[in-house]
Amino acid sequence: MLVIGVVTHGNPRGQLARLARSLELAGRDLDARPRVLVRDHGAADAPSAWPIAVERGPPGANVGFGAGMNALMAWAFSAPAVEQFLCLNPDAVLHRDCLRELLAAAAAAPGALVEARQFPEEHPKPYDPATGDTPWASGACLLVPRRVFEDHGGFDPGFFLDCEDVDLSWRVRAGGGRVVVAPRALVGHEVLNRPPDPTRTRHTLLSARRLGHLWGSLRFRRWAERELVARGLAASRLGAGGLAAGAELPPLPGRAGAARPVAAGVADFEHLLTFARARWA
Amino acid sequence: MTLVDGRVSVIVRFADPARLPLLDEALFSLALQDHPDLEVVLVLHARAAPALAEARALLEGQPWGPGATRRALAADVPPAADARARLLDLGLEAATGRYVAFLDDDDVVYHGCYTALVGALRASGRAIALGGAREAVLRPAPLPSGVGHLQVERKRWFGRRPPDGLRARLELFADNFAPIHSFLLDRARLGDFPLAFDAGHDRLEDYALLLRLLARFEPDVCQLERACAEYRLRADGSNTVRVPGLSRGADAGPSAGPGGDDALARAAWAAAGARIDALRAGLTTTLTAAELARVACALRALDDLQAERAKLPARLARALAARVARWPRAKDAAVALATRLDRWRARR
Repeated sequence: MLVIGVVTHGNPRGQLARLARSLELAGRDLDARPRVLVRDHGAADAPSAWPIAVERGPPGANVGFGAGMNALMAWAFSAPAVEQFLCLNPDAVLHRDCLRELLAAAAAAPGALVEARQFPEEHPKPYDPATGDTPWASGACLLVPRRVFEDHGGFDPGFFLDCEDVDLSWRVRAGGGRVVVAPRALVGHEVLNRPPDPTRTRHTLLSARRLGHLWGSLRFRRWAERELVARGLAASRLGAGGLAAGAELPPLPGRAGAARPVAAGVADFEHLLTFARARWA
Repeated sequence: MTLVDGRVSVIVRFADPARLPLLDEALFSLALQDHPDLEVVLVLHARAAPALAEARALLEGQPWGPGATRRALAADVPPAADARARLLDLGLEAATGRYVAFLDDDDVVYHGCYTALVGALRASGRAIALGGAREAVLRPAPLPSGVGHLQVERKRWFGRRPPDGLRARLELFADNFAPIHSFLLDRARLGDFPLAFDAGHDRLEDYALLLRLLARFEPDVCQLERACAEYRLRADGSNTVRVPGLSRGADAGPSAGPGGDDALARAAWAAAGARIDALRAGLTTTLTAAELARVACALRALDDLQAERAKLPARLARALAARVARWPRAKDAAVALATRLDRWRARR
């Protein structure tokens, strides 16, 4: 059985209605209708905003995308019949065939993380046209099999927003698993022409800093810190080891407790936030 | 017909049953639009008769927003006829929106495209708004299931984006960097302009319309830096248009579609080009004296460049070229460079 999880944060009603409509269409041809679990991270999102039947996940404060999804996944996978969980952004819109194609790709790559292809602007990271294998998968529309959740514990809750999907993908690949794109599974997701959003940029760069730290790239971590400072999103006192003590940045975990299998060689920091060689700029 | 204010009508023509998967993506990109009043008019060529039911199902099967309406029209044209222009004209006759746009069945538009272009037209009061276009190359790829898909190989901006409206307008007279789905028209501001495609153009019919529009109206270009439309080239050579460098070798030139004959296609493209030249020869345009003065300044700066380039040190020649390329301040640039040239000559 498939469960779809959505973490909302005060999304407009029209946006949720569009997503709900697409969920209805995409679920129509499946053998079993997927359940939809929602966790609200925004006060403006009232339960009545959903025009379809959804289940409410465990309530809680805004703990970030990854931790919110983890809570939903734990709840979903507590039912033995649930074998797959789809992380889905509230601003996404599924193509009618998206779920069917995702499940077909998952059947062809058992145990793999499977992402839908974002549309009309997809991520420029590469993927193998025959197998779908890709360096990492976006969490915007990501199918997580039970085995991945049980083996890897879902997303690292230390990432508030962004890069948690890259981190999970690399952990899966470092553990011998696969990460694949389902190119025929389309999900509408607006990634071009976004207006500048300093709050979002700060979250992204803080997550990048954490990713660099966890995967042993001091150079990338410092790059993220310099970007935070250059954009006025963090204190400007830079020391030899990065930001000076006292700068208002969240503490990083000790390497001993959270270090990643760097030796697996799956991490790519050479291409900065693309985390892979891009097919186009 | 009374036009519905605020409504965007998008006319999609469909003629080739083999393009159903592409049509699906084109329609999905329309369903993702956030403009609150969208009307999709799908015009079906008789040649597409075997796929009519499927095309209609694709039209209805999209996750449309509550403000989206759609209709499918079966065009009464002979199956063997090209009818590219006729299909669009039929769509125009059926469209009820004040704003109209066109979308070929193998292209897509990006999120927010029509909201941005309507906003531009409302702000400027102009009749046509140009949006930015990107070009994507799609290559057929197999999947383990045996079903194929089109993998995006690369993307880049479609043509060179001119820096201002005058330059855009002038350059469009020379060459087309605005594919048919990258602009939006405000029919309430077209006056007595005959909005119709010329059936005499079996290729470049969109460019022919654009030339006639630009001869009469100054376009709004404030969205030219925004990616609004994606022009999709298929690496198997199945586009109708020229696809230089794709699958047939570098600059293989025209394609007549799958199985098409290159010699015939070249002849057809040459004829289409001749028709465009004839259209240009018969068009007069409206430019203000100020606009013509800017053209003259730029030409003068170019003359200076040609005259001085051979005598200049390479660094200065490059600086001169870069300055001249900055069109809006061409006159200032010419003055500044003349000063620098004088100093350089004085030092010699």
